[in-house]
Amino acid sequence: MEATLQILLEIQHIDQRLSELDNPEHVLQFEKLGFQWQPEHRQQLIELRAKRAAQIDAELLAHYQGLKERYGAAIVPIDGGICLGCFMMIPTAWVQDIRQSLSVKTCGHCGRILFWVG
Amino acid sequence: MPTTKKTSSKSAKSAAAKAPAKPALTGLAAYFDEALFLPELKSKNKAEAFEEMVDALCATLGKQHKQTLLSMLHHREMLGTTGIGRGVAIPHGRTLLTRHLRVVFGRSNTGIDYGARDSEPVNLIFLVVAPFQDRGNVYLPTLGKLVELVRAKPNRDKLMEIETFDQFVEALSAPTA
Repeated sequence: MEATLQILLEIQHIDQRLSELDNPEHVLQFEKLGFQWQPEHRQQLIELRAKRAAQIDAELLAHYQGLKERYGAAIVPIDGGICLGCFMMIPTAWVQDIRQSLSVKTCGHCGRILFWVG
Repeated sequence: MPTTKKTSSKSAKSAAAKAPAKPALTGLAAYFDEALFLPELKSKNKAEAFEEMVDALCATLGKQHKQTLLSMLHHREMLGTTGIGRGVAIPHGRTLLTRHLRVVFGRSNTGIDYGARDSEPVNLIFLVVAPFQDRGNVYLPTLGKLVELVRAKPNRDKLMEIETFDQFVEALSAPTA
């Protein structure tokens, strides 16, 4: 997989974890099931995110941040040539590139970063 | 097309028609797959176990996703263990890398050094991955059902004894605690 895309995915995963941790209801539900949540370890995850963020182009990171603030999820899957963020068609020529994760492609309509889910 | 081929194709079709169709898995079992059933984990610690189980998952999701999935699981562990005690761990997370909720079952007869809440070695691991967009809202309920299942000692004992995937599926439908 293209390295930048892999880092972006990891950042999105970390952001997901942090949002779970910031949701008291979510934490409570998981604690009730017996899972441990230690909010005091949040900083470790933030530091790891910063480390990963430093490994990618600042402009792309800013784009990711903007998308995250606007839509919640910056990276979205495509399905049948459609961006599942805005449900608009993606150029056919791009689909194979996205499928093979050859490069970072963004939706021409909403700007979200596109990803193929197997 | 040669006649012989026609005949063999016909007989194959007829054999397929006669063979009893395997019923579709339902309930909790619907999230499992024989390819994700690992009754003999070789791993000794948590990192190795994740690797062994993610390898099985990547056979379906794509080998290129291995590191991303592993880091996702390790991030969760950084925030607290998913070893819930009594020899059971349920590592979990949402990811963009899957369209459907999937569960990998792994069993270690010798026990894995997992850093569980009760500090006991872990024998039974259910590794759960769910999509970000969980439209059917099945993630938390599935985790809940797994926790309920393993709360009952007879169910844990049964899961330690089973040998085949079919027996495993049967064990999943056992009454909960």
